[in-house]
Amino acid sequence: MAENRNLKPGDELPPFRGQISLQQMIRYESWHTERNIHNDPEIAREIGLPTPIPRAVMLSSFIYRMLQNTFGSHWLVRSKLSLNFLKPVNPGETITARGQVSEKNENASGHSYVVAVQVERENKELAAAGKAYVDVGP
Amino acid sequence: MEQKTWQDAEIGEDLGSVVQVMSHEEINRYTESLDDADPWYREGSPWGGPIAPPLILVNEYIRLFKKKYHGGAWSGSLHSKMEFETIRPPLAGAVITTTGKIADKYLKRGRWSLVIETSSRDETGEEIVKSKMTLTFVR
Repeated sequence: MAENRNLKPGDELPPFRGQISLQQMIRYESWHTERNIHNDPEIAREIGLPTPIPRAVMLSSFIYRMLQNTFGSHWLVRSKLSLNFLKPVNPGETITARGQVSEKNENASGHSYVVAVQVERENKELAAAGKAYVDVGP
Repeated sequence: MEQKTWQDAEIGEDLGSVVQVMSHEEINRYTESLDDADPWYREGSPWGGPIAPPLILVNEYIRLFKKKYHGGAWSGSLHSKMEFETIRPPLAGAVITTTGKIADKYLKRGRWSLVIETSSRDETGEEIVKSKMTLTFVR
């Protein structure tokens, strides 16, 4: 994994792209004992959804993986992700996590980055957007 | 027992604690559901042995809330915001205790929101993850 310390504001991170299938959603929800709009087509239909939708936090895992691919273990120490969830996504659609460095700051332990992050739907709508803070050390 | 609904939630209310063991089975269940084959979760990591993805703890706020607010207590809610801070990843085998409270409850543009704050610690008491999750009620 890359541990990139040489980024500058404006740089784009390599995107992370993938899908969330209905089977993945059901497995993700297996900790959950209740039927809900994330694991049961019937419950989803009751509130007008044609199909179950992935839990919003599943989108954050795409951003996590994009940041981990770029910053390696630094992303997993004293990091922070702030996200607003804007639109649900459908199972099976291609979604893309993107990031662009907005700040590079010096601090006592080296330097840190602020990265503007988002999850984009197949139709280019934003499903989630926010900021990530990562400390990359000396 | 009377079933509480989210309308009963009060700012500052303690939600108690929940425990999750970072077993290999649990890590596999989580990573397979996200199609994540990173060897750090199975073989070894910069922390020595395997770790769990920090986001494995992202749904602990739900478990905390549901301990007090049963059944459809949050029917009609959307997860609108998340703040998730990783201090370090949970190690495989660790026993993680998460505590939480209702940090805020507010009305904005005709919709109520609840903010649930959590703190997750390993068996040594070291804090490893913190979160602040906002649920917005649309009906």
